[in-house]
Amino acid sequence: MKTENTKAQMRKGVLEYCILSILKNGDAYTSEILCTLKDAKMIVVEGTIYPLLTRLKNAGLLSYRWEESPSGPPRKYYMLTEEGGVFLSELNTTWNELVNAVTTVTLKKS
Amino acid sequence: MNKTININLGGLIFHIDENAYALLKNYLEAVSNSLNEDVEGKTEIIADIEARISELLSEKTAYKQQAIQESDIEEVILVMGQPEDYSDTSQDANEEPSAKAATHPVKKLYRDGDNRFLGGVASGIGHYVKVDAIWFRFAFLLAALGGGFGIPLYILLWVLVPEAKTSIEKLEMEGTPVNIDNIEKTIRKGFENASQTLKRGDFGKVKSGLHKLLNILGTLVLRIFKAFGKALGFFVIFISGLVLVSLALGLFSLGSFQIIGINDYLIDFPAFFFESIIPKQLLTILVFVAFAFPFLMLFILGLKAVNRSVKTMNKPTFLTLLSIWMVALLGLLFAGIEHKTATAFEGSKVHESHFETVKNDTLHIKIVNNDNLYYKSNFSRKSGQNIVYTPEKKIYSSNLEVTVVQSDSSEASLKIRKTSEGRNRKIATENADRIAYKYTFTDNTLLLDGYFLSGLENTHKDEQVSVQVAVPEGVVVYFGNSTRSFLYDIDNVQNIDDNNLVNRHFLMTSKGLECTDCDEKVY
Repeated sequence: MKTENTKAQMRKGVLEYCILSILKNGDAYTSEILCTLKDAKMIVVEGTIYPLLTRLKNAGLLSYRWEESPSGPPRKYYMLTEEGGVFLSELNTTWNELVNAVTTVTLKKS
Repeated sequence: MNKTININLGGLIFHIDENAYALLKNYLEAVSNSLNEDVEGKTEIIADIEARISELLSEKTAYKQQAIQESDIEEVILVMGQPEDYSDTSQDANEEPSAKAATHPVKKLYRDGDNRFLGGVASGIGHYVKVDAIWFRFAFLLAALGGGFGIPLYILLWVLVPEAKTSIEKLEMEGTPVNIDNIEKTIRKGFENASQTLKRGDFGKVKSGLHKLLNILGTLVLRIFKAFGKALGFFVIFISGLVLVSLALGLFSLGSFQIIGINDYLIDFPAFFFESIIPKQLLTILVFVAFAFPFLMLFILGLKAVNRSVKTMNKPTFLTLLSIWMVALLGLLFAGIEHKTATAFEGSKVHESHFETVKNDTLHIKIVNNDNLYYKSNFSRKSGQNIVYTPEKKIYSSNLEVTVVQSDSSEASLKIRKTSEGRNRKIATENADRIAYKYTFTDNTLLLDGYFLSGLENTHKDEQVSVQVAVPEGVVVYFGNSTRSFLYDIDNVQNIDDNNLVNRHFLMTSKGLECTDCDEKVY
């Protein structure tokens, strides 16, 4: 069992939650999402995000629109769908439960 | 100095170095391979990734009008992550295998185009089983020479097994884990190939299905033709190489045999080697050159057929060799003409001798062969003559005629006429004189040799010995059974055919020979 693997799995599990959370605060184009995630040290390399975005979009949780950019080609702006909003609130609950559970467990041990 | 390429990446135009381009291209390819989406999803994701890379690159080139370097791409890759980072493992139920797939080497059978002899089949198999390709080449060659199935097997594999063209495929062929470090290595290694691909410009083209099919068919046909050409080339190389080696061996051994002086026993020289003004050694070399040059040319042609880039002789060398060859041909032509003139004249030599016949007794004529000689003889296909060792090498000929006539005196006599040919009448006569022919006369029996011996140099000459026995009237002649095939044109009273004369008694009368014990029907 590699710790690296476990870490990556943990990260990947909450990545969707993070992306949805970012979009809850307003529409964003890919680079913005990336910036936020990188600033939060949620991701190290950007590559991880692309398949995830596409999958969320295909699942109907996200949608996007093309928007002209001041410089360069048009950008892809992602936004939360209604379905996505519902999904996010569910995730919120789950996350809180998880945090509680983990805190309880880890505190008890130490 | 580097060539730059213009690319459209995510809607922006970039000038990019050739090698930076190759790196980027392979990176995107690797990413695309590590995605486990369907084709549609892949295209979308790749488009997103390209858009992002384009953004990152435009940030780098925002301030300066600069071509994108390899280092820029490397930085981008650092930001974007290794191809395996893209794999969306959480989607799969079976996370473990897919995680493994990213890190563990995938091994596939490809043809190795970088290390090819023909189609890279052997080196591809070599990569696959991690054994040096030379063994497989050897095995193919053995199978081709042995059972012959090596050739169709090779062609089949050539057609069926794809060539490792992209860096990913090359890594898969070698069984190296597909990650960006290895990809880079492969790119650096195969950079020349990449630039060749660029020159051909056959990437990124959207081809219709029919176009693709035609292309595949075209390459297939081309490959098969190429394979045949190469197989033919190998065949030609093999044959001409064999001939050259044997010619060289022949030249060497002839030369050395002549020096130690055993030539007459072991070598059958062609007829015109004898009596030529050109020395034998020189003639040998001329023959060698005359035959070797065309085979050398064939050998080179074969090499060219197998590998177009083989460096062959330059023009001056070729012209020199060509003129040497011409000289050799002229020399041989001269020797040939000279050889013909050596038989221009016919000459003969006659030996006459008398012998005493016992009165009232029968003169027996018999032909004797020297069995010792005959069984040592060795039929030479070239000249159609028997060669005997006496111990000198001699021609053994049975071109012998025996006839009986009436003697114009009271004595019996024997006339031996030897005939030969020569450059002029004198030489012809001398040659005739050298023919060795013997007979003995004892107890009223004439024992004539059924053969004569002549020098080896007379292989091509028309030589003959005719024996004329002249007997006086009243002598009875008996032709022994052994004379059957040698009797020629013997006049007799009953006009009996030569074939029916043997084992009969003939009395020499004033009218000629008369059979005394013949059946009526043989007349």
